[in-house]
Amino acid sequence: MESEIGLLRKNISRLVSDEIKPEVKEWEKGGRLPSEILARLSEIGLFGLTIPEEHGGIGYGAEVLVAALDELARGSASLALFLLFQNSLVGEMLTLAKEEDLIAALIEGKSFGGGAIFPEGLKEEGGLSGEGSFLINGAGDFFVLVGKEKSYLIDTIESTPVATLAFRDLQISSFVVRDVPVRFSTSTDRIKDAIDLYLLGLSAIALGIGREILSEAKTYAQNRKQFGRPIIEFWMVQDMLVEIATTVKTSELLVKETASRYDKKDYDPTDIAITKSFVTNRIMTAATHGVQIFGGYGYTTDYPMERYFREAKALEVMGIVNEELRSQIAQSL
Amino acid sequence: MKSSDPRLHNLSEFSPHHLRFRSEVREFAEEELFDSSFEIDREERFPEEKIRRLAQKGWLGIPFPEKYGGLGLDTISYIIAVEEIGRVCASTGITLAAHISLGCYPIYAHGTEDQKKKYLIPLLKGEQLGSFGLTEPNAGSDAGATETTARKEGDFYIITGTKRFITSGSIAGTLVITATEDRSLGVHGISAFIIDTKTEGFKPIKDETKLGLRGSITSELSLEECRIPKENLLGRPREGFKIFMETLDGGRISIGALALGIAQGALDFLIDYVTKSNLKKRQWVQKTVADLATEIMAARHLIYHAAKLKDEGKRVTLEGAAAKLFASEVSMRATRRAIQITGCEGLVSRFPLERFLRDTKLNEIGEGTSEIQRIVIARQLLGR
Repeated sequence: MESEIGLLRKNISRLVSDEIKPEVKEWEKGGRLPSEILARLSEIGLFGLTIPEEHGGIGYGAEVLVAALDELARGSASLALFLLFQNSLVGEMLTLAKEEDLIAALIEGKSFGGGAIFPEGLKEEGGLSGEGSFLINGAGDFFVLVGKEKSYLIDTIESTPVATLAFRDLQISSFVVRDVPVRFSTSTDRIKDAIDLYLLGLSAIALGIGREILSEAKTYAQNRKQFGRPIIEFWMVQDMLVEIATTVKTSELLVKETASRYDKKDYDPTDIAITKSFVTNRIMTAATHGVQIFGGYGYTTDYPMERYFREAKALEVMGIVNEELRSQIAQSL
Repeated sequence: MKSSDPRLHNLSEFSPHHLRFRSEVREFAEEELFDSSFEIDREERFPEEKIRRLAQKGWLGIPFPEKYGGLGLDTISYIIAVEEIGRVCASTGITLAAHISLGCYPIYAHGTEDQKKKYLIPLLKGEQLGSFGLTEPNAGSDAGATETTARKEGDFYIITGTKRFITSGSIAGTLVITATEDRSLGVHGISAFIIDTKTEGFKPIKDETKLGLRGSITSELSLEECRIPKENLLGRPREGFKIFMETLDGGRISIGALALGIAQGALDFLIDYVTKSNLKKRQWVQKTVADLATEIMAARHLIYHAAKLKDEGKRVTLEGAAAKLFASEVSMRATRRAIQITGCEGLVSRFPLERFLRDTKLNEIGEGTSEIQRIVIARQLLGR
């Protein structure tokens, strides 16, 4: 498994440096992930990563997925989030629904799902009705709506793209569904593994962002001279770098360990809640330090720090908001 | 926009006049700046028409004597205006703060009568914006590392260099800048000058695209052999370092006030949001609201304490740095935590919270980073 993960990381890493990093600013400006890059992810098998082999996927578990997300997020956290959404909630719903054609199309990169997690007030009376303010991939070919009690697979949604703090190329939209036919539904309890995987994936994406913050901030602090020496020689800058490095290291260990337990089915939901709330919270603090080390330059869009700052903040909130997770942790104690 | 609980912002040092002025600015900000605050952020547009409205009200000259075209009010009143405008539209708030604290103040405090007549009056009347050119590509926190040079030639100074991160730099009419007459003297070789931005050789290079404060202008400026009359020297030769340090002492109070205003805006939004939802009985929500309110009240005391000392003519190096440091960090925490309560809705630009977060990060950087504030405070107490 280690060698497979190593190879996957290497492939993604090459994609990140050659095809993602040079383009990512334009994607956000244009408000969409280009179909070419989605096709590239499909070519290296990423959309079938966690889909079981009997449905045509590769059937890997969380350990491989978090490695892929972490590596991909170093280039584009939006793209990693897109991949995560397909590989967790979408994949799970399609598999449960035995939608073999849609699964095949997903793996081939021809059709993707959009969706929302815990929008308030979904109602099923004949068709499905409801609305929400945060639909991921509003341009999806079909949609997964995860409600508190039940989760749904539907074909159409009325979506309006909205301006957001981060992930501006993920086509985040507000949405309305009015008496839409339900293609498949299941109790949300039945897909809770996929929800856990999604939360764990969010931590892995935060970790990837954290690695970039560390490497960029270190390089900048080594090169930027003030008061006659590189600013990395100042204790207050070192202290911020140390905190970023500590965050990255602890997050790395935590994400890896939790993923491995997830795959062995030797975990309780608290592990996931602790991982997501800890990692995303600490990475946001790291991102704040990252902008700070860059000073005025970090506040401009000439450098990627301001984007990491926005993305890290969004991850603290997305999936299940960290305070809610902390309540869950408290319950289990 | 929901008004805040008056107990949060009524300090005992406010006179009835201050309270009336606060109501006036608040009403203006809520009525005239709220809607556009979203627009100018989205479109990255400088709100010229809003700045003109501030000028009409005389607010571009709040803390300066009427004989120079100012409003003749005190520093506390000015700080009230920055806080209240910052609470609604931080881009407009920083434009006001940079104009008054950085553009106008050094001319008022160190200018000759002639300089004040020629340059200060149009600024205070709001006929043009003032700006302060201190930071350079290689002189940020180390502001004394100025590379821009000034060379005396007969009755003129010839100034050459590049300035960066200059608020309102490309649209200002008058600029106060620092330049070194002799680099071997370090900070003691720096002089301050007043430059008319129509001077030949002065050229804005670009305006930055930023994380926040996107309705304010932050410029890179080029000065190439700018010939300015020797009368435009501000203060005595090689006194520039002293002038800008003192200017920043005061400027920091206004950046603190901006941070405070943003934090208050976030809290007001949050209180409204929470009371309208079923969240107010949740203890984690109560804790957030209580922490935000307490920190904001404490920050407000520091800010207005420093403003009051300035009105008494005292040097506020320690108090200004402490107020700015604390308020900017409070504001970051407040905006960050407020978004947690609104969840994903708070990430959408329809709500002001995500903008408040982006805007307020600058307060930990501009006019001296938090690290520099800590050094300033420590030096005040420990000596150099």
